Amino acid sequence: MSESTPRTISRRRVLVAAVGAGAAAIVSAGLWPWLRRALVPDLAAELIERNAWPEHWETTLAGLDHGAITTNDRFFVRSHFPVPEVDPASYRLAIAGLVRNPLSFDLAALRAEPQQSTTCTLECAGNGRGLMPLANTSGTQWEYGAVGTARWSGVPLRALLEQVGVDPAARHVWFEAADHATLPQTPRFLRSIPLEVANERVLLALSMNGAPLPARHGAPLRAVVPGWYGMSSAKWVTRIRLEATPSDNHFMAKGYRYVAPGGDPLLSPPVEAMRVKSLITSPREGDALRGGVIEVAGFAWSGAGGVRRVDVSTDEGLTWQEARLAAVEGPFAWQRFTASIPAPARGSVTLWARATDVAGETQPLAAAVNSGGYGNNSVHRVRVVTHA
Amino acid sequence: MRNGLAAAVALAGALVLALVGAVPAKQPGPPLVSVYSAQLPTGEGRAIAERACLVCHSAQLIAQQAKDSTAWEKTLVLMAKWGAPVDSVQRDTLRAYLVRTLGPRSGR
Repeated sequence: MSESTPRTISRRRVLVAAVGAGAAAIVSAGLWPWLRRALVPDLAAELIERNAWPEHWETTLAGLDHGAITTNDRFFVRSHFPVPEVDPASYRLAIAGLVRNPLSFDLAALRAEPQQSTTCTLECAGNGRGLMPLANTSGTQWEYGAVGTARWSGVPLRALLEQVGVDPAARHVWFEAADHATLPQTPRFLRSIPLEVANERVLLALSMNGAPLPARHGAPLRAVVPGWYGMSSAKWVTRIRLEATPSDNHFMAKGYRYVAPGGDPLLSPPVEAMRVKSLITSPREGDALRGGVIEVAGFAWSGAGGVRRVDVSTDEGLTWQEARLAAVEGPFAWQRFTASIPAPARGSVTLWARATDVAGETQPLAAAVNSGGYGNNSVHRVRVVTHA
Repeated sequence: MRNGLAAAVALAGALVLALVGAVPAKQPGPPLVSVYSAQLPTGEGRAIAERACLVCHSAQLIAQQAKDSTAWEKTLVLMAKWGAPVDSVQRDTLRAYLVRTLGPRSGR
């Protein structure tokens, strides 16, 4: 910001004060919930508002229970900054950096490329953070539903990388995007991924569940990195850079790391592949059910590329019953599981679900605590009451 | 500068009134669930929080936190670095307010 003149700074301060005063006035007058509902007619009822701006929406377990595909109006939303307005007519995707032939694509050119589709699950790295036993919290206190599965369609990143000719020195792919904070001092949100992951499975998605990508999900183009936590699937991507090193952006170097309490983020492992996890979407906490047999259903997924089995327990893990798994939509899409569980005719039952992935990893009863509250894949517990 | 600020505040106020006028004309939206208060807790420091924090994020993001003094200070240092308009004296008032109203989670 060293090039800013005093004049632009005072204008900026006036703007900041105006935005702050406007926001404070809306909040103080108690108008926010009213205004909010008027402004978001394209979202379903089965969402929990975790943050009004920037938008953080969590899907309820009832909202996830409708099917293996999470509809666009129910899909969780996590944005670092306000949803940017990207003009489709002037939009360009530039690919530059360590390449032989830098190129720029408009939307017509991207749509003219051979299209591919993939069904995959995206989970926010902070999903379950609100359930992690941390005395000091940070960020959005998600519980269960910062996860969803969609069918994404667009251009495989590898196809475009072949056209630009990647330099042998390139090792990482940086995604730059159109979103930015209200204040210019705030760093942009920038993520990078290893080149081999980009070549193997990354899709540049133009559509979501057969509809044009919604604005809050990254229109006109987002990266989809199957198997990795959601922050890598950058939205509103405008520029892709090939580099020798990972990005040193704040959200790479300090954010999204498994930091033990008191540890140094720079020396801590990065958050990447989704840990094996399952959620019971039916029944739900507190439900009253007829005793005898309880029909349990939910979803299980893993960034390792598939789930081998899901087990359900009603005796706090002393014994487990293997659940049935539905057909696989893809290695990185969640799988529906169902189980018919014997239950007392009258009483209280706590259902536990535990998934094991193709790499042999099993969900822990309680995930190790880390100060950012990332990767909480603790066994899901649901208490229900039975009656005759 | 002062005139500019006054004009900006007046403009923001006019915008709020315009929005209030526009809302009743729209159909009621879906019954979305909001789990946190959209208002900050009362107390000395609230006005600073509203002015310095709500520029970038809603009150809900603050209201769902629980932190001790050291953790709130770490947050405030980062937010000031990222441009939150708050000087060091205001920051002390703000930190005390946040610790008092949104202190660490206990019994966990």
